[in-house]
Amino acid sequence: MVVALLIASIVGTHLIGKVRREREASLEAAARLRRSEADLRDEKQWREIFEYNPVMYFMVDAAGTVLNVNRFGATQLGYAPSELVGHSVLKVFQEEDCAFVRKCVGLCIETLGQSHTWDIQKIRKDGSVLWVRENAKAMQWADDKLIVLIACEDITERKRTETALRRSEAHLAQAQELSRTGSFGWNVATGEAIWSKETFRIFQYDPATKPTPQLVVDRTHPEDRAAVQETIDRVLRDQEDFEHEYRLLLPDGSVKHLHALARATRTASGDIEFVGAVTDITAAKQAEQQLRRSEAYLAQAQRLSHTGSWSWDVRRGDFVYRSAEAYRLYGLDPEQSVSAQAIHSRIPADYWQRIGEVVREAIHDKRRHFEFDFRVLLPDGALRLIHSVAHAVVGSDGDVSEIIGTDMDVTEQHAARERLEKALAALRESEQRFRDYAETASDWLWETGPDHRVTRLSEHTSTAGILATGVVGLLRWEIAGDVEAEPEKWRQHRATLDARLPFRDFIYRTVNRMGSSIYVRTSGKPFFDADGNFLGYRGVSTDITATIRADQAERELRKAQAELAHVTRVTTLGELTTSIAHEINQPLAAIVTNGEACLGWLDREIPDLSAARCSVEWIIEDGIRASEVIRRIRALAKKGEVEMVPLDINDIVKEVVALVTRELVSQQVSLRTELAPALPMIPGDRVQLQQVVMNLVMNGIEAMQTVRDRSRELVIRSSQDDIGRVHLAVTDCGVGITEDDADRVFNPFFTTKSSGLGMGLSICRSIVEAHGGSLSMARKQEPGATFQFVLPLHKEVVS
Amino acid sequence: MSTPSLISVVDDDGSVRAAINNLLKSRGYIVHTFASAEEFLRSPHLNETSCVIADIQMSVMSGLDLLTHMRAQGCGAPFIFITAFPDDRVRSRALSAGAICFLTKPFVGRHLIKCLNTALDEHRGGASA
Repeated sequence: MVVALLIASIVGTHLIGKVRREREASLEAAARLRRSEADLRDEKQWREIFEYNPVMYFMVDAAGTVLNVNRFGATQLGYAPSELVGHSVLKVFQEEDCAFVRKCVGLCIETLGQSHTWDIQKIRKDGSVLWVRENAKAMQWADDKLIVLIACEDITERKRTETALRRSEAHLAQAQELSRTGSFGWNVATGEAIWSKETFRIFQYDPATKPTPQLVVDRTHPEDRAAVQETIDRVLRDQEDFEHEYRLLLPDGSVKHLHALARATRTASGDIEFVGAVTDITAAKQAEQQLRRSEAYLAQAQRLSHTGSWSWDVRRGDFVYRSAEAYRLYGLDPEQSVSAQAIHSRIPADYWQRIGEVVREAIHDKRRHFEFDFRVLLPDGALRLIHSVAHAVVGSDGDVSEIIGTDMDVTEQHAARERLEKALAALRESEQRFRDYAETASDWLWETGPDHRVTRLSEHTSTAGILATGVVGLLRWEIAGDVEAEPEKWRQHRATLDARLPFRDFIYRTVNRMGSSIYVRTSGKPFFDADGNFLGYRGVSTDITATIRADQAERELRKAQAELAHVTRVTTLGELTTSIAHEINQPLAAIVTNGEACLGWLDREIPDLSAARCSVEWIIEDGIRASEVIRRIRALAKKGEVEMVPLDINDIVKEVVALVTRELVSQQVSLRTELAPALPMIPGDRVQLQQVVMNLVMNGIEAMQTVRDRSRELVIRSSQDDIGRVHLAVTDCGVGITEDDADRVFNPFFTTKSSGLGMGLSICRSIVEAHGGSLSMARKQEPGATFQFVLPLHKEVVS
Repeated sequence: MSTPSLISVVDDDGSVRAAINNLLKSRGYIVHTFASAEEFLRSPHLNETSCVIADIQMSVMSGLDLLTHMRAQGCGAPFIFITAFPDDRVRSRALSAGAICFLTKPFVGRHLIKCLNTALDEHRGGASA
């Protein structure tokens, strides 16, 4: 039972298993069937999608042979799929692109699974061209074969649009460049701005710059900047169209005139956007300015030359044009329109008639050029003389159509010519007068020939009794008596003559008829004939013996004065000897004492070297001090040439004060100096001016010698007067100068002292005057006197 | 030994004043210097001075005036005069007014020291008398 049961169970199990297996198998088969049906359905769908998808699909192998192409793809190229499958894909490409295609396919195969894109042209069966964008990818196919799947999209239209767009952009850019007009867009809300290339060029910015309104302001000419900023602000506020002109100041310093114009438009997003153009109008502006200027010049020229221009229409019998000056000549206002009748009324009838005749004749003869004179009677009764120059213009019909002319006011010229004629008559008269003068003057005229021998002398020479008779035929250096004494002078003179140059004020010595020595000053200039041949010299001579003698006397006098100045200076120094000795003895005393002190320090048991050293330093200082005093005295005692150098009068005062300090102390005189700071320099001789100041100071000290009842004070005051001259005053509080003496103080040899030459003030005055200044006495009564002098900043008188 | 001698130098010339000060110090003296007679008269050590060395020529108060003034005040300190203006008239006035010495600038230091010693001896003698 158990067995049977077991068997039964085994069998049963087996049966069950079999049945299950069969059932499973049938189920599997059904499923497979279902699956394959679905697969078939899918494949059909896919194929349809593949075939009719409006994308061209190509499947090629690694060699480029077409394995498959969808219908759309084949149709697009004008082929049936069967015409392409099995053929090389290169069939649908231009020959020059084949290498590129091979390269692309190769690339896809190298980079398995990666997509690549390129644009290329395909050739239809009919030979027409198709622009496509190809997307390709290599993949593994059955049998480990590699295939390349290519999807192509027709971009012919896009390409065409792109090319057209690019071309029109290029045209626009070119047009902008040619018209010097840039365009711009500006979204006010976003602040975003777009500039065309030309706009960048106009503003001279790098096209890579991000355009902003600020860039415009930055480049704007400083004078226009406020206006441009205002426009931008207004545009931001009102968001309305705008148009303005302004100037740029570019980095290279050049100026550009711009005209900008923009329209406000509303964008899709509702923002306001300005689209506009900016034009470089510099050339136009310049032309305009030039035109305006040349018009102005012409008007100005006409006005200055009193010339008016006009044009007469012969057929209409009226003026076509009259320049402003052409009205003014007739006393008419160019601003008001004036009829031909008004012009007619200003010309006296007889002249009008004559003009009519001349013009009619010119028209008849078609004369290119004709001139006529007439008078214009102005409302104020003045007569103007007008000279007209005109020419007839012949029209296309062969007749004179227009007369163009100029009117010139020659009233002045006419008057000038009359004056000139009168002047010529006067000149002829004066020539005779001059001849008369020349013959009665002490000067004589001479002429020498090409060989420099005297050919002619004015007749009155001999009557003047100056030159020895018989000089005609002689050379100047044969007449002169100083050729050997002054060879250089004569060498130069002869060189001048050889060079045929004019000479002036040549002085030489000769003898007069009575045999006494005279000096002659002569000037001459060469003269030539019409062909430029040298004919000789003509000139004038004067006896200047008297002048020369006077000059010599003056030189002697000046020398004597300088001697005297020196003597008085030394005399003054003599008066100061005691003071000066004191000034030198003080440092000498210090030197000797310090020297002995130095020995003292060294002789100590323990020598004090630092004290000894200090003593020696003092010795040096005092030595310098003593030598300084000596230097001042020597400078003053010096008998040298007058040396004019720029001087500060305050320095002069200080130098003098240094010398007289001790004298002031010993005479118990207190000195007060009031020196104006920063006085201008005056040209002068240091020693001479020191002498003047010292003289005045010494006089002041002396004048106070008898003063007992008040303190003796001497004041030296420097200042600048209102015309810039330097002023120096020395005031004492002494006995003063009596009325009688006041007139004589500056006389030579005037003195109130028992000693002294009495030359002091006289010499001071001549020194100051030689400096172009003046010395005077300001106060002559007690208490005391003031002597003062002024010196100019520039020496005016050289004597 | 008694208190050291105090020497007063009165001269309006700074160099000379400093030089005399230097000389005397090198010889071990105690020195006070004054730029004018007035300054000296204002000095608190006026009565301690053992000898006055004074310049004759000074503005406002001369050396002679100073001597006269001090004598009038009853001060008997000996005087040595120095001057850069040797003048016989002044010299005799100075000596007759009681000056120990009358030295002309520039003077030899030895002479000044000699005068000073004389003056100090006299002063000491005078003081002890």
